Amino acid sequence: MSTRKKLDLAKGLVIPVLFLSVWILWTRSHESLLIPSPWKSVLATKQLWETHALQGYLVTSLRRYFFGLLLGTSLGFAVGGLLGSSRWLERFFLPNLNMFRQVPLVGWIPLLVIWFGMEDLSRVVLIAMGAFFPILLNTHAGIRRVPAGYLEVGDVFGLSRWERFQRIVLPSALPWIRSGTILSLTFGWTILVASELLTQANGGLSDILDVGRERFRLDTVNAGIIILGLLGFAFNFLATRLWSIGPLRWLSQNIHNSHEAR
Amino acid sequence: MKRLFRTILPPFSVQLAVFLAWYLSGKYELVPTTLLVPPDRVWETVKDMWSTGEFQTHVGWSLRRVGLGYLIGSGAGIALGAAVGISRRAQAWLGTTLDIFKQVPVFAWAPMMILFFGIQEASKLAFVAVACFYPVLLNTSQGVLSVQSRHREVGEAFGLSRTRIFLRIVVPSAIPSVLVGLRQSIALAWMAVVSAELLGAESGIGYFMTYSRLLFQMDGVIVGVLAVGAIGILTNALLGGLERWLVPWTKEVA
Amino acid sequence: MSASALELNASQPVRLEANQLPPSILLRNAQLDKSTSRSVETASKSGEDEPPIREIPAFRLQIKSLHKVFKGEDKDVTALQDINLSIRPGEFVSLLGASGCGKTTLLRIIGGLERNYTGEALLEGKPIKGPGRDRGFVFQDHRLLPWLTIENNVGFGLSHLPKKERTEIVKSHLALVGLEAFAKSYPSQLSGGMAQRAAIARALATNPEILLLDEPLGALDALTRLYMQEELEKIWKEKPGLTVIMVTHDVDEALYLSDRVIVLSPRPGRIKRTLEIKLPRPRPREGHDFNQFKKSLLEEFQLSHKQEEPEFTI
Repeated sequence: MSTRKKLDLAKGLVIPVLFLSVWILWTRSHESLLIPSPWKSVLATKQLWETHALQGYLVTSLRRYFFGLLLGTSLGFAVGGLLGSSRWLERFFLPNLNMFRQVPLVGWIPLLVIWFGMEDLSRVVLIAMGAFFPILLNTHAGIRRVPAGYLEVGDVFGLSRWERFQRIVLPSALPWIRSGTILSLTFGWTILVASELLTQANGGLSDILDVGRERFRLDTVNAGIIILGLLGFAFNFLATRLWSIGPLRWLSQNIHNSHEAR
Repeated sequence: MKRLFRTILPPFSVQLAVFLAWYLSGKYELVPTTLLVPPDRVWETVKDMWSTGEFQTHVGWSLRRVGLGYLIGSGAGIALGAAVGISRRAQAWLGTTLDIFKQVPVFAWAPMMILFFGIQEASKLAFVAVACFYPVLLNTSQGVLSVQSRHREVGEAFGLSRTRIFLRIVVPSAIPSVLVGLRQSIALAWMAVVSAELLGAESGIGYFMTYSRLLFQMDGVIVGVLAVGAIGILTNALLGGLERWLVPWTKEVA
Repeated sequence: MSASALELNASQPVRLEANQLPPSILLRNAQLDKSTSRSVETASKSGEDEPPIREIPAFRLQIKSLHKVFKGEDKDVTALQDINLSIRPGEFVSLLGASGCGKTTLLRIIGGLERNYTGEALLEGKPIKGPGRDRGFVFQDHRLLPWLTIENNVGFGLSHLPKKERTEIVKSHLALVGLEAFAKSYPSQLSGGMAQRAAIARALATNPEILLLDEPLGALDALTRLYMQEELEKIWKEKPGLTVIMVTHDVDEALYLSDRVIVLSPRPGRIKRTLEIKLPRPRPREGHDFNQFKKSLLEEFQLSHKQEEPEFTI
């Protein structure tokens, strides 16, 4: 790392370190439940782990997350593929889907709760709705944006429509699909947290935040924030990395421009 | 004319079909009315609420919160985004901090806001502001940054001072990105308002929906969903239209 | 051409335009033509009317009264009008012309990429209805698929073959174009000339009877182009019996590589003139004959100044 970069890194760390130091010094003199020392937050995390409370929350939240993602991404991919391949279907359904997308997801929560109860299902459906749109839009865009030149190459070699889809359309759309999955994953995590916070008594990770809030214990709340933040970061990291393995190496080389549909 | 038919008619027919299904399910009790209230009853409820002023009050509160929170959050986002975009030093000092906070899912901040500010207006506004802060920040900084490298040299070649460069070159070129950020964050702000109201409030559409749900008044919930949806679509359309008018060449899709 | 020039060039067989030849030669040429329009085996028996033992269409490609109209928003554009063309196996033919003369359209029709046309286009006697592996196509932009390695690109049209055979063919064609070292590279890592070579290998891998090139060197810089022209000729020589039809707007390129140059004029696209180039290969780019042909062609485009022919050329 060049000296300039090292200097920049150092500069970047100043504010967090400063913040931490001020916090620690403040709590040295004024200890209160509302503003505990940073160490207490870490302790709280540890405690959650040791009492096996964290594992329970983790399993519940992750279960909802994965099922929601599965449902949302598979549907999104299927519909995106269909709308991308058929102009007819696209004309009928895409404008409506776009409109639907603009309705804030949290607005659906009361409705979903009535329909699907307070168990996992309502949350899974909400997460699925959140994961659905990025994949849908990106898959659709990716398929529509296959360069006509490549399609002609398929023609020249006498590929059937299905063969052409498999060997040319899909690989060409892959950068877009990749963006879609990464967006889905991150947004899905945000929706998971939202769904749990906005429907109380749920057994997921957000319970940590709720409990902390009710008992006015910032250390617990902080613990919750740290855990959620770390997991969010981990998923994002995983998603990006997953797309860089061996045969997909070429994806990281930016062949086309800007692959993101929001 | 033929083109209009092609673009408007198909989606509209789908909407019509959905509406028809909704109406028929109510008429023939295909779905229990406790789960899906037919459109005519919903309309009755809307009219009721309008005449008692209930509708306007709640919507008014929600809109007020969105407006204020959005202004604060976007304002801060633009300010910091511009700073980080222009000054490499600012980017160095603030970059890491901003990146760390970006990782936390935005809704996780809500409990903390409530802890600090109570179930008062302040906590809701703070939450909304935090929610719309990031998209605006990211897009603004990116917009300013991408301008810098190319056009600043033109300004320098003409011997313009730093402030003039900023005003006459950077600002106009960065506006498209800023608008993109603003459009993304209004959606988020609206979500934040509804969430805050769902959590703990005494007014607003979110509050109304929770209250209706607890009283098993499905029609109220549906009215709420429709209102939330309508406002979401409207604000998006407004900002989208603004974006298309000011900057018809955006790179974004949909 | 004056008689003196003719005499000077007697040592090198040059096929000149009909109106430039003395009558006796004309007659002999006509008889030669007649024999080559029959089966290939009897070509040696010039002038004799013997019934052929086996009738193979001696013309690989035949186009008769071809018309192609593109329907536009307000008006229709006649891209090609009354095209008549016969191409023999193993011939290298260039379609030369300015933009809008329909040369690319004609090539695409032969390749099967444009399907609506009136008239006949016959490949080995069978009408052309669509693309196929019997015709290889090279585009101006190489169009190598960016997600495949070079070797996978070259083998793209060979998916129906067993792996072993496929690998063999790919290897030999990579060697043919001199890209064996880049088999595992990706198109983004190759230069323009190299990528185009890979595209040519890809088109040839399916062992087509005709190779169609659509301004293949147009996207390359001038120096690479010269080098690639030589490469193209080398590659063609390695594939005996391969017919090549190349679209170009570069007169030098057409002259350097072709047995026959077909000049097209635009709006509507028509064959203006056909020129046979019977110069031995490889052709010096500065030879007197080369320049004569070039001048002749440029005149077609009214691009050269008509100069007085010098009396002596010593």
